[in-house]
Order: sequence, then C-alpha cells, then structure tokens
Amino acid sequence: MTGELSTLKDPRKSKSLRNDVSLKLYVDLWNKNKCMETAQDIIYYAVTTGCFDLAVNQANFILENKKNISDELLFISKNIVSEDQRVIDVVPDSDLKLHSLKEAVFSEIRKYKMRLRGWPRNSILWIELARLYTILNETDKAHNAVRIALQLDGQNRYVVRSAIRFFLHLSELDDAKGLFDKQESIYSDPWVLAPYVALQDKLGKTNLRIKNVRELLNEIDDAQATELAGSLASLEMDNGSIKNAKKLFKRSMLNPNDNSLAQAAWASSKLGEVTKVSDFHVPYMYEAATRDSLVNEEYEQALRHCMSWMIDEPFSSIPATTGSYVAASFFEKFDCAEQFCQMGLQANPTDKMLLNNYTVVLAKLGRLNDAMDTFRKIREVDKISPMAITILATSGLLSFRRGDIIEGRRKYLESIELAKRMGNIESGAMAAIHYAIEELECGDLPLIEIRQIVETNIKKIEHPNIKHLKDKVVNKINDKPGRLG
Amino acid sequence: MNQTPAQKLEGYVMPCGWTVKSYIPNGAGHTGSAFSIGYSAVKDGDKAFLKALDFKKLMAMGAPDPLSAIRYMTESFEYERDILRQCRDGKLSRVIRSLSDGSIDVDGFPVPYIVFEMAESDVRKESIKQVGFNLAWALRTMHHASIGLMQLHSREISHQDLKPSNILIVEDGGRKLGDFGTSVSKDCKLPHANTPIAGDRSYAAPEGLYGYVDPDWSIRRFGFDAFQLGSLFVFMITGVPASTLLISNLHGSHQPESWSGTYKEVIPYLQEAFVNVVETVDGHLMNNKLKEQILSIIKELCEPSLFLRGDPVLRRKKMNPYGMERYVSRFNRFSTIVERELYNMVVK
Repeated sequence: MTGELSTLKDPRKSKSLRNDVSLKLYVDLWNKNKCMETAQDIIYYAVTTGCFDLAVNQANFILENKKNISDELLFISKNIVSEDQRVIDVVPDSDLKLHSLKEAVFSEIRKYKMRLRGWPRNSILWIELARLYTILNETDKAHNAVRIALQLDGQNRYVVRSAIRFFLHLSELDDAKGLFDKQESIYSDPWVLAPYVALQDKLGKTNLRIKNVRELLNEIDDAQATELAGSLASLEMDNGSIKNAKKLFKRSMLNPNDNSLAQAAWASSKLGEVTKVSDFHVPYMYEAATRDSLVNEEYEQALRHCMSWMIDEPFSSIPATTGSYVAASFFEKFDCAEQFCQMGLQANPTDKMLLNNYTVVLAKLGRLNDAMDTFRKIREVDKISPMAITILATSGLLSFRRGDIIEGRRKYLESIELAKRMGNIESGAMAAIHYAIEELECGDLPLIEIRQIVETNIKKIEHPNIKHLKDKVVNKINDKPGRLG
Repeated sequence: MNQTPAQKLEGYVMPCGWTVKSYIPNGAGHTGSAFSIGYSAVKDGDKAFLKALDFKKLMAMGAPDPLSAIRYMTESFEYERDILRQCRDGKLSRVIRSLSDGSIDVDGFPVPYIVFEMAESDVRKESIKQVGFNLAWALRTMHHASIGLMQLHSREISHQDLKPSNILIVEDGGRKLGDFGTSVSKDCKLPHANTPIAGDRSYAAPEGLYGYVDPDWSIRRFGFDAFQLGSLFVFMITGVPASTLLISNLHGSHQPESWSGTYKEVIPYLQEAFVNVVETVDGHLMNNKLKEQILSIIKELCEPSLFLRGDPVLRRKKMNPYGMERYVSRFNRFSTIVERELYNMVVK
C-alpha cells in the first residue's frame, strides 16, 4: 500500500555504508569464525542499512542452525534470503469469502483502536482505520478517521494521498479538490501532483499548469516520475494526443510501481501494447497482472490475480466487477462470482455494475427472487449510456428466467439496438452473446437462428476477450445435437 | 607472520607492574576493539584485562588518509583513557574500572595501553547461552545498566554505543558499562562527537540512522542513550535489537537508506512500525504480571520521536525526560519482585 511513497535511493549513501568500519570488523570476524553471534551482527547491520545482499550467507546460516533463535530473527533471515525472489502472491480460492473478510476486518479494527489508545496522534494509524471502515462501508466512521488524520498531519504525503483516494472512492470530488488547494507544494511533489492531474482529468477542467507538470517531470528521476508521467499520459490520451500519451507512458514504465503499472496495463488495452507487464516484478502489482492476463487471454491467471487484487483492495469495486465477470463469463463459476460481488458490494452497496453482475450471477444460480431484489436496487440509469445497454440486457435475462421469453427477446434486442445507435460495439456484442446463451438454454428457437443472432450482431469485434466468448457460444451451438440444419 | 608491536606484548611487565599473560581474541560484537588487542594480565594475584592500541591494524583496514587516521586513533584512545580515569576517580560503580594506563616501548615503537578490571562475560554472550528468556536476569541487567547511564549522565558523558556486548558481567555477577571508545562528553572535540552515529550502526537510535542531529547536545546524546537502553531490553526479550526490529517493520521506501525526506517526516511511519515492535515484545511476555509495566518502559525509551521519548512524568514537569533516576528505581523494584518470586518458588 505504501509502495506509492517511494523516495529517491541515494547510491552514495549505500556505498559509504558498505565501507563502514564496524561492518569490516564483523566480516573479518565472520571469515575467521562462522558463528551465530557474528551472523546476527551482520544481519542487524544489513537491516539497518538496507544492504540486505550483505547478509544472505549469514541469513542462510541462521536458517540452517535454528536452535535457540527467536522467531523474529528467523523471520528477518527469511526476508533477507527471499528479498530478490519476489513473486506475485496469489490468494487461494478458499480465502475469498465475504464472512472471512468481514471477520478479518473487524479484528483489524479492534487492533487499530487498541493501537490508537497508545498512539492517538499517529496519522498513519488513523488512515489505516479509515481504510478498514471503508471496506465495511462505514463511511461516517471512515470520514471521521480521515478528518483526524488530516488534522494531525495535513501535509503528510501519505495521509494526503490516502485521503484523496478516499474522497474519490466516495465521489466527493469537491472535498478532494479542497484538499489539493490546501497543499503547500503541489507542483513540487510528484506524488501529490499525480492524483491532482488525474482529478483534473476526471473533472474535465483545465486549471492544470501543464508546463509546470512537465518541468517537474524533467527535474526528477524515473522512480519519482512514474505515477505523474502515467497520470499526464492518461490526460493526453483523453485529449486525443496519442503520440504524447505513448511517450509519457514509456517514461512511466522506466521505474514503475503497482499504480503506474496498472495504469499502463489499462492503457495497453486501449492503445495497443504500452508495456509488457510480465517483464516487471513490482510488489502488489495485482491489478496490472489481472489486466495483462486478460489481454493475453490467460483467463485462469486473470482470475487468480484478481482474487489477490480483491484481497489487497477490498474497498474498490473494480476488482469485484472484473472478478465476477471473469468467473461467470469464462468459467461459469457462479459461486466464485457471487463471492466477488458480495465482497465488492460490502464497500460499494450502490455500485450499478456490481449490482448488475450480482443480478446475473443470482439468476444463473437459479435464485430468481434474490436476483430481482438485487436488480431493483440499481438506481436510475441514463437512458443513453453504456450502462443502459447492460441493464436492458440483464432485464432480458430476468424475463427469460421468469419464463417470459417474448419480453426477454424484446429487451435483448432493444439492448443490442441501443448499442448500435451509440456505436458501442463491445457492449452490443456482450448483449448478443448473453441473448444467444439464454435462447440456447430455453431451447425455443432453432439453433440456426441462434447462430444468426451471434453472427449478425458480432461481426467486427476485435476485443480478444469478447472474441473468446463469442467462440465459446458458437461452440456450444455447434455441440448442441439436432436442429442446426 | 610479522607481528605488530602491540601483538608482541605477551610476557611484558608494564611500567605500572602488570604482567601481560595471554592474548584474548576479539569477540563478536566487540567493534570497540577494532583497533586494539586484548590480553589477560596479572599483578599480585589479581587478574585484569589489558587493551593495547594497534596502529597497524588500522592500516590493514585500509584507511584512506593514514596520518589523520593515526592522529584520530591516538586522540580517541587518550580520550577513552581520560573518560575512564574520570569515572574511576568519581567511583562510578556501574562503569568498568580502569586500573591503570600508560605506554610501553616495543621494538622502538610506543604501544599505549589501558588495564581494566577483568570481566567474566557480557550480556551478548550470556543471551546466546540462555535457552528462553530470563526476566529476572534481564531486569537486573537493566537495573545495573540504567545506574551506569545515570552515573555517566551526571558527569555529562554520553555512552553512545550501549549494546549487549558492551554490558560486561564482572566477578560478583554485577553488570557494568564497558567500551568508551565512542562515548561523548560535552567538551569532546573528536570527529565522532559531531556525527549522528558515534558507535555501532546496528544498534543505533533511529534518528541517527536517518542522519538527524538535534542542535541541543543533551537531547541529541542522552536521547540516543535512552533509546539504546530500551533497545537492550528489547534485545534480551526478543533476541533482536529494537532498531533492527523497527527498520524491518518499515516499508522499503521508508527505510533509512531510501528515505530522502526529513526525520520529522518519517516519524509517523516509524511510529506505526514501532507499534509492531511493541506487539512483538508483548507476544514474548505472554501473561507476565509485569507485562504492562515492561511494555510501558519500552514504549517510553524506544519511542522514535526524540520529543516524546523518555519519562513522561519528567517531561510533564519540564525536567530532563531522559533522566535515569526513575528508570533505576523502576527496574530495581521490578527485579526485586521477580527475584523474590523465584526465591519463594525455590524455597517452597
């Protein structure tokens, strides 16, 4: 979570630490006699200087001679040994359960409240408490915790970034903007400027002093620039300056973190390959890995990465919508999709796309009443919008499942028609795929006509995931015995 | 192999009457003896430890400016000698006693030396030997170490390298502070007096690791000593010094080597990591009835912010919060409770 706060590493510092007299003496003693005490001293030195590579032999020595060694030292030794072997953690399927998430969050809240009794002025603890309340959708309590953190340390970069993320999560854009206005050094801190650029992009405003952003980008190193370059690239992309956007994404990938990598992976799905995500090993890069796996049609990997993403960011609706879509559409694992939806809805109970996905999942699981109840929770949708296409299609699904085939067909066709009018090929294709599946399930229409639904409505599709789903439904039609010819 | 003059002292009788017996190799953690050689020595049936300065050892370490290095070494040695004389003359009971000092010519080269009372062991060696955590022993060690610091601080001397191997165990089992090579007094002009970390980096207080030097000498130096005293306690409980635990609980970008902001800016992250350190200690203490008191002392002494560190009562009264008097009394009280319990268990 704090990876976004990376600061410049000073190689000179590290070099002088490697020539330190104490270290030389320890190494001298180690070379003469490999004993536990000296191994420990070199490990302590390596940890306090960040030069972990200095102590790999000693950490292995500790791990091989575990007798009478404290758990803490064993843990530190393991970390030293595995420092260069970072892999993306994948959470096993069974861990993705709403009740276990809730239990874990409640237990963490208790822990942080206890901690805050001892350290009531620690802004980071307040921010963490706010994050936990956000997961449970306890927005008032979360608000309160964010407010205290800002009062305690309103210029702390981490607190500010977390607060901005919180306000954006609740779509409180004015509060986010107000917070930026209070920052003393917005155009000199790339880590605060990056979300400011993103906010301006979202608001569609032009108060941004692009010249100052570019000047700052020229002054700082790649690690510092990664998120700012990514945010500016997205802004350029939205303004249609594709060449500039690509150039900036390239800069953001010179030393990326989890956020900039996720942004580049998202851009890759729009602009073609901006970066090869698999070339990077960045901690917490679950979102980027999910997006990359989807682009590469590695659906099992995508689902696994998405589970890790969901656990890492349970307050966000995006891993939940992505995960439920992948589990339901590519694997027909509706139980798994239900867990994604439930977890996402915990923190985002009014998210329309999540409610839509949950409705579909419940209908597919045969729980029609629950599906109808969930569908009713979707608040008003703009009649000419991508969401309207999806909602109409889901409404068609519910009609089919209620046995009202005529109404179901009408709604699906209406959805496909709306997509055509809006020029939204992808949403139209998805509606057609789901329509074909329902016709197949219902068995009322000849297979040749079902095939026509697919072929008429999905002609020019290039999106690899939709292509895959189209092929899947065509195969189902072909495999069905009987009435094709 | 060519021996340096300091390496040839076996059998020599020093001008002060001590006879040098056998060479004692450097132990682990004894960075203070980086440029010296240790021997056992005897006089009138008494045993002692003799430390001789070895210039050639410094050369072998590859000093970039040999002349300055020799000058610094000599001055440091003289400084340590003077501090020890001051402590001896002040009869500081919890500081290792220097019995004599001087210089002897070997092959035409002067070899400065200091003779100390003999230590049987040190806290580091004993901790490694112990199976599990011995609270009574740890509390008594803390009691003696805090007396040592109190005595030093009362003479405006700061130890700056308080670590387990520098807490020596003498013949009667008492603990005394040793190794004053990097100690600092207010009038000290040596280069290490102006650096954020004078002693071993692995045991340093966090402000030193981040290069922060408080302008106020007392806050800077006594605050550092207070942290190291707390760290000693953490080491005896968990087997790892507080600074190592603290840094290993930080995200990489907040660790000293990576951090480019100020110390003030990193403090909230350190405090969050420190919560984990305290919880680690808590886990080791299990259901001990003194747990809350012990945790409270560790919270006070190892607090990352210099302006919150130390005794809160003294701070409220606007007195020196790093004053050791109340810690001495608390450690003594707790040691006595635990020792009495142990005694009762044995007697019953």
